[in-house]
Amino acid sequence: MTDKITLNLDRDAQVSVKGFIAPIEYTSYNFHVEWDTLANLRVAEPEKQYPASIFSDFLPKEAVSVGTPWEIEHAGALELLKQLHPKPSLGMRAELPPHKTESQGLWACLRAYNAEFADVVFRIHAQFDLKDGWLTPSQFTGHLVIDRVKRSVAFFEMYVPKGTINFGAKWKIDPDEEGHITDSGFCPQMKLHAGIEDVVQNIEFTESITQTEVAHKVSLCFYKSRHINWVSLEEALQMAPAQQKPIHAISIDGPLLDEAC
Amino acid sequence: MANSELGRIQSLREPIAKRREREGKTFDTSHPLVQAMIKGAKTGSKKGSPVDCFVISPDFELMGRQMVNELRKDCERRGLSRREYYLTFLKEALEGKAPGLGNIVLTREHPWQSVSDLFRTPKAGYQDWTVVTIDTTAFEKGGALTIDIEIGREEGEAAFYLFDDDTELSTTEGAPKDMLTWVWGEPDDTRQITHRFDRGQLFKLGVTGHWARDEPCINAFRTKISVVENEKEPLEEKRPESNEDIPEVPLSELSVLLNSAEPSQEILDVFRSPGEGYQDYTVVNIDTTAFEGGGTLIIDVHVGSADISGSFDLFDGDTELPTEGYPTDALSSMWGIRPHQAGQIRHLFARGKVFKFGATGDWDGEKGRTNAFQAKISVEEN
Repeated sequence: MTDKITLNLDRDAQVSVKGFIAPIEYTSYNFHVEWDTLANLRVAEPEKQYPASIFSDFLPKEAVSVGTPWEIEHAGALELLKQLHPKPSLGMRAELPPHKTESQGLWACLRAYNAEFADVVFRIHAQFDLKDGWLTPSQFTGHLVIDRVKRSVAFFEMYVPKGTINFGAKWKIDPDEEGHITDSGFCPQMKLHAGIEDVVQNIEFTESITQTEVAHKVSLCFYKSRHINWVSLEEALQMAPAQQKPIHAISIDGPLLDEAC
Repeated sequence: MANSELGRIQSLREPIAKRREREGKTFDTSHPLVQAMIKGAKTGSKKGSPVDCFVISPDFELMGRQMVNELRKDCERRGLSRREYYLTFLKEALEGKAPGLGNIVLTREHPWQSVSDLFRTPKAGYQDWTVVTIDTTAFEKGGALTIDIEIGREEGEAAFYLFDDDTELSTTEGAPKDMLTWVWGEPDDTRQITHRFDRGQLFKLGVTGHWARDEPCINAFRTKISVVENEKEPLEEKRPESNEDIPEVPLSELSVLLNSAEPSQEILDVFRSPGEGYQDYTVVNIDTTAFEGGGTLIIDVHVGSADISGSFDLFDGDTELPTEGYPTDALSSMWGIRPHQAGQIRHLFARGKVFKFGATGDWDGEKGRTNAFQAKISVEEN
């Protein structure tokens, strides 16, 4: 049984957050060139001050132990996402089929702590309501590092990971026509950032799990298919002949375990 | 595995390659598992699906492929839920039936399948085969294999050869010597191959362009491959007269002779959707004259799993069956029997006679589509 700790912030302190969106590098159907909204997608506010209370929404209401996920309050996450784009949505698209409800959610998990710092890892699924369509990033993940002594935000980063494909988009070309056309692609940078990451490097934590472990625990909060013990290509290459077992492989346009497609 | 990683999304190949180069990352496409998936994506009767599911052997040979775009249709065709169907797919892959890899497996329950593919012009004097393997082993008593062929509109003639499965297809000889039968066709032609077999077996349909052409070309073809099983004696078979309004799929006209020694027989046949307002009967002549004192004719019908419903009508033997409108002369009818459903016609007769039993698709089915039906025809003597 691991120890539980409480996580708190001085709600009146101010945090300066920088926002970045890089030009989209590629899409399957050239939306990033032909669709002006996507071609001109830029961060809404490059820098913004927030009260620390915004980040309190990322913290658990009760004491938690390492590796136990909790749900994030929506308000703080929405406020932060507005720095990237003025119309974020956490409910995801209304036309999602029922089986896609697992796409929705905001989850966090305590990865590590010692007497001075606590490292919280989170994953948020959100999308941006564009003028003539939607942009759905694969996910927003990141760290919130709390200075437990000063009750302040030591470091914050929320970003879209660099997958081969890391966003999906729906474009309503003709407003009089029903439906959208879809595409997916890669945006090299879409993130919010505060503080200096070095603060948690080389720290000896009292208790911790790895980044891979915490990412797995959080992803289990979203997708049933994450409960399958997927193995990498390299692992399958070794395991199949050694165990004389066939391989069940899925080849898919969009990543299975995020929202990029 | 993402299709973009496998290079299956052509428009992303170059930007992803540039990005990998910039980031110093590599992706080994010679990886045997990757090769199996790339091969799998190019295999089978249809290509291109946003999700492909593969079963691959421990030595990285493809054992099965299921395309997500075909899942709904495949489930309906076999009358299974998605969960049941997918489990069946996995089992059949492990049993070596190679589902989705171009092998066409025909059974009594699923006696036909469609295949679309391409053929191309080989070099002069050579053959460049597109091969469809047809598994008819479920038809132990043999039957008639029919391959209805449509050739695409692009430039390019083609030859369609039917072989035994163990025939090695030569790529160097000018014309194959060991074929069972063959047809030749030009763009936009429709052709048909028929071949009777005594016992279920594997066949190969080899398709190749015509090497005598000056210009290389690629054209499409579509086939509907079906089997009508040999029936128990004493069924006779005769072909219906041609009718321009009816698609060129031959439907049998059968005769069933019932008597005290054999008061019941079973038949398996297909019916076809006639289009709204029309009738396109598969006819079974039922001879009950042996029952001089009369009896009850009972016809228990099970409709196959294809996606059209059937309607069934019983007529006097001398009735000319209608080709349109409602069958007002029918003695008894049951309409709208859905796939996998069963129904029964009962008709009391005072003296033995000949009846005509007509099977046709519902009016709301797509014209020309077919489904199988099984009928147990019996008489309970008075």
